[in-house]
Amino acid sequence: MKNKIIKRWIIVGIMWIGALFLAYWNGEITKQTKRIIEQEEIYKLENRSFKSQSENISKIIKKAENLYQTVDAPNIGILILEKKLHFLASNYRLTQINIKIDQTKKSESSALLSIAFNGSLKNTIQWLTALQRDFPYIIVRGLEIIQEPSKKQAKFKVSLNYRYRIVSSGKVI
Amino acid sequence: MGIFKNNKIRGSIVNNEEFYFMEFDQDSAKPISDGIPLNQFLTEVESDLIPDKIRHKKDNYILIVPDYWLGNYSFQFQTKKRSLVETYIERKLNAEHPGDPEIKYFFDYSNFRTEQGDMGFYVYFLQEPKSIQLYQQCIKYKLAPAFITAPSLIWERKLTQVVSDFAKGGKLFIYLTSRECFLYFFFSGHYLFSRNISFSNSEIESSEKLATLTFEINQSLYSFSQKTKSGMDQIYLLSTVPGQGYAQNLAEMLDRKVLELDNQEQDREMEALEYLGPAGYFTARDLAPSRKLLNVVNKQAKTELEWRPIQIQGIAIGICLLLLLIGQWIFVWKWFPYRHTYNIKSGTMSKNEIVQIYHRYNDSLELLLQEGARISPQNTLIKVAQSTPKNIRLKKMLVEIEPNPSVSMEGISKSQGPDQFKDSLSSLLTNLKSRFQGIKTLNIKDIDFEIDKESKDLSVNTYRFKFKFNLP
Repeated sequence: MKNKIIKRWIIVGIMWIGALFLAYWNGEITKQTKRIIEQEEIYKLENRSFKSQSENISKIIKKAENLYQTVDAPNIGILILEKKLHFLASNYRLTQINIKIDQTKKSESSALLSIAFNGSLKNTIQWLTALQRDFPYIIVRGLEIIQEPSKKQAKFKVSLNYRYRIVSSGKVI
Repeated sequence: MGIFKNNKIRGSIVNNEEFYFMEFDQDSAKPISDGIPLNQFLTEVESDLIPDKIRHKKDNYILIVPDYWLGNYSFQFQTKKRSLVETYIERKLNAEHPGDPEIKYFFDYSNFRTEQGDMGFYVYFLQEPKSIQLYQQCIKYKLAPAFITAPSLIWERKLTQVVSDFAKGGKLFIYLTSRECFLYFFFSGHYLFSRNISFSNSEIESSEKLATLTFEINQSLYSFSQKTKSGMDQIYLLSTVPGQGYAQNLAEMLDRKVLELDNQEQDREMEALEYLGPAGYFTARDLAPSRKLLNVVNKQAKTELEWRPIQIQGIAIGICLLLLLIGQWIFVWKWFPYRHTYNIKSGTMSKNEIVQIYHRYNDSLELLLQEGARISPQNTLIKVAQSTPKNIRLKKMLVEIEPNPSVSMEGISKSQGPDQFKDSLSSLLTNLKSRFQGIKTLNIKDIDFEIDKESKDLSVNTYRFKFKFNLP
């Protein structure tokens, strides 16, 4: 008789524990589903907003990408850059051009270099403007001007920071 | 709720040392098998004795034992609290029946108020040793009765329903059959004791029957008066023998009013069931709901009986709840994968790709803002050149963009005297301040200067100066 009562209580217990477990489980699934629906809604909105702004986003990303030059190897990049800088400086009638690479300050994404030349202030300003326009991956860190009394032209020494990204099969621009 | 009502009650009757399997329906009591000698039932080890009808349907099984198997007594107690009352009864039964320790578990009780307003209890218990043996034998046959009662207790309930003032004073109920007569004595609606008068010959003259009855009733009334210290208020007669006018004759012989109760079962052939004793009169209507009968079954069975409806309801509600929740689970589970595959179905850019692009966009924007905020060296040079007065010539200039933006200047000024030199410097500072925001604090006192004594031009004074200011 006592066993019968206990057995029935066990059945009642199992039923209710099962019901409670299922209620909890369903609650969790419902919550999860609700969260997914919300995420989907956010995603849809994001997708819509992304589509409308994708052109602008691409432009910004592209512009930011230009702040680093993609190179296969830094040394190759520096070599080509050296040539280009020399050429640019010559274009603005700057003379006695001397480019030096600071090998001690070279990192995975940047290298320090300096360029010294003689020239007028006007030409140097034009050269700096061209440098910033054509070489966005080069930052001017500082410059020194020394004007000797007897000479018409001043001596300039410009410190530069060359930024690059190494890619395995990249094309050096 | 009618559909849940069990119209048939299965049980057993013990009468004249015979054991009968019964089925009580709404109209009659029907024996399922012939009577089995009680001693045989108590000693039999085979379960073949149990009819199939009983074996397969034994819920709420009721066992009706003879009235003389039932003992009773009354007592007064201060509290109505169940646990205390039951403990008291158990202790009392144990003390009065030390030879039968099981008796203390087979009792039931009802309460009453004494004339003084005190709380009193009538206790009914199984005093017959065979009754315990019978109960255990029933359990052995997996026929554990949920109810054990006696005709007297069933009559008590039936009369309470039929007689309006049954709960007041002494009442005698006479149940007369052609073979036997049963006298039931009640006080304040509670059963006190009973007498059984058997007629040796059923064909006995009714006058002789009446004489025997009158004698027995008078004897019993005396006993009743002694027990209750009160007189008999009313006598009721229920006769299954049709058309004999017993009530009127008995009233004349007893010199008391005898009320004949309406025999609701007069259509039935009661004579054929007389061998079952008074229990043969009862139908399912008299026995249901069984919970309301005084039930002397043991405590465990009662506990099971009390909890059973709660447990069954618990199971039923649990099943409904489980089914609902399983339904919900299936619904939610089927719905869930659809949501999960949304991206693939829609064929648009994946969420991760969008997130990655936004990350790149944010990083790019940050980088471009940093670039935008960077000081332009050519602008700095232009501003310095524009700020320099004609009588001042810069000899050396250092423009630092990173890490601490600043400008260091060294130059010479050719002036007629200190006043002109001061004016030149002031002009230089004013011009610089107007072109470079954030150098408002730069003053002449921050400028180092000296006269160039080595200068060959003696018509004017040459002053050397140098200073530094930070770029905002």
